[in-house]
Amino acid sequence: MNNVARETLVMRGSLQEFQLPDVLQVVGLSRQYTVIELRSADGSRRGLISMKAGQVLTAEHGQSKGRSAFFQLFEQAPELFHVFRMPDSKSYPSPLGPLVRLLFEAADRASEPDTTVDRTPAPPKPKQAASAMAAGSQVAPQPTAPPRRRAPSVVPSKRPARPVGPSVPRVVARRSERPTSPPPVASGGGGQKIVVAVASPKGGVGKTTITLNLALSLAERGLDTLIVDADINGDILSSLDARGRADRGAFDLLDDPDVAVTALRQTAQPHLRILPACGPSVPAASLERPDLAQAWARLLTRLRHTADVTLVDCPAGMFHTTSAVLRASSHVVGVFQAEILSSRSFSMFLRGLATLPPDQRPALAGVVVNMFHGRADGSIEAFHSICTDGDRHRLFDTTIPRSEAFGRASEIGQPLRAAGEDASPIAFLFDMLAEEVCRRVGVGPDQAATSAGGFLV
Amino acid sequence: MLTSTDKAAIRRSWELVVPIADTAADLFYQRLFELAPSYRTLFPDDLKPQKRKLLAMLAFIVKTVDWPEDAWQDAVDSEEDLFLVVLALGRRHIDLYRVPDAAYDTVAQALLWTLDYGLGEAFTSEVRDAWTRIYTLVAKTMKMGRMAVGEGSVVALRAKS
Repeated sequence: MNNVARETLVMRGSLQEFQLPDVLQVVGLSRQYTVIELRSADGSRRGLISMKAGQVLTAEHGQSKGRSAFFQLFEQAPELFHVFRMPDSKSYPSPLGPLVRLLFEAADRASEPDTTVDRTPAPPKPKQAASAMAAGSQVAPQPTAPPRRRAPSVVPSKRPARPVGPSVPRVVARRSERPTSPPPVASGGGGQKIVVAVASPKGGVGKTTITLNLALSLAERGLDTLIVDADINGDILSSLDARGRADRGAFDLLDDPDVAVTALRQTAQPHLRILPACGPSVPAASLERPDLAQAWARLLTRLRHTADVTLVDCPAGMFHTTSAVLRASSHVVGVFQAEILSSRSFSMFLRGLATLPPDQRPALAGVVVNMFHGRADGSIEAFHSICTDGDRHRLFDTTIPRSEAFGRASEIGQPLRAAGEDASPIAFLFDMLAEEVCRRVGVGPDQAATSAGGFLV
Repeated sequence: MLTSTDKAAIRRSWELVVPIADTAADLFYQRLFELAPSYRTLFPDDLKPQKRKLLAMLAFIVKTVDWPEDAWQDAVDSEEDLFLVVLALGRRHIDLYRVPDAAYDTVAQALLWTLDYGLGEAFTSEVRDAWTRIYTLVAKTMKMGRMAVGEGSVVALRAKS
């Protein structure tokens, strides 16, 4: 027997490089008696977790011990870890539980609205949470906060990413869960977690602009909204002049859906978060992987539980990454640029959707006309061309005009709403578009009021 | 997250691989070098020893990743400990072979392709997910090999062997 006589340091490192759930899962492979000591950047001890053979034996955080300490350590975001192998013992503390179960519970807690409240006395529901997540089914609806009407700014704040639990690869969402066209209307409050891909066959039509400003309007309505950036070329953080702040993103974390949850960037709008496309280096291997569709399905199946509405900004074109995202989305919004060349290529939008297997095809929420210029013949002609086929495209009533305000917003790295007084009318158009999107995909707090007969009681 | 269901799926599917292990090893390296031709120079001309190591390591992983839940208190030799052995393997790959992190993705593709090809219909989505999860964990452990410390420790000694 190759036992150790005293504690032995096995490894140490930074939790910037590997997340706490990663470290725990890796150490959970060991059948040795092991202690993970968690420290601050200055080396001071924040807490510890002892494990053996996948069982969590003890957890400490300050004066707190046991299960509460385990979950607190996820919320406190320690920065360093040391893993010690301990001598075998004749008797061990009674386990707090299997690591897999505690990590599922940590993930469950992290997906709830308020992770700062210590709910330790509450009876744990690990089995229910784990089975619900493993089945890719929906967690309990979150209460929708009332809309906040403060002036927003969507520059990612310096607030650290939401602390969250484990890496839990999810199974691909069952297609039976996905709505077929027309989508069902959910009850108010956003009971169903919606994933909307924003796509177009042509580049430069304003997908990112539509995604960003639509997401902000959805968030202003009180819906927890998440932007997932799937466009590695024209990423959304660049339009916010925040590209340098991304340390990792969706393409870096396709295999780690739960770790991706920790990479979400909070914006100044309390209901809006962003998952960037990638970190500083180009994840070339992720772009070429053959199982791209499955990987995006796992990622979006996990992420959709973190928000009422998830908007995915797709790259130009209807195939490759866009196709992978579409297969994992419940709905798609098309962006049509009111311009001649764009109108000629837009037929590929519906043709691209038609190439997807019916059981993996998202419901068409609608097509929004963007960059409409009422004094340009070409723009009017393109607009007429799409309108003649409006039923098939489910055109939104709201049309977004060409405006210099978009350019000014990009220059200052802000969404339109924050670009000055002259941008406010167009920002209002995005509010209208958001209302239409909510109505068509069936989310939002005011479904009952806006449905037929809802006003007269 | 590796569940007991995943462990069972890995064990059952591996039993189907064992009879065709040599072919599977051939397929794996063939696919690996198709995906990344530059990796061929990292290996000796004679791949037979390398194939044996690959199969031995996969067999070791399948054997050691699973244990009865009620046996958690049992003492286990460090030579039979998945975490310590793979951590040492990772440190060896970093210190001696200078394997970049990106290589783990390519190896994952080759491994999953090999299992898919070799198992056919038995390579269900559940089996694929289970192998993806265990590989992801093993790859993370190997990457953490760069953080392994302790001169004279089990990890350090094994890393030199």
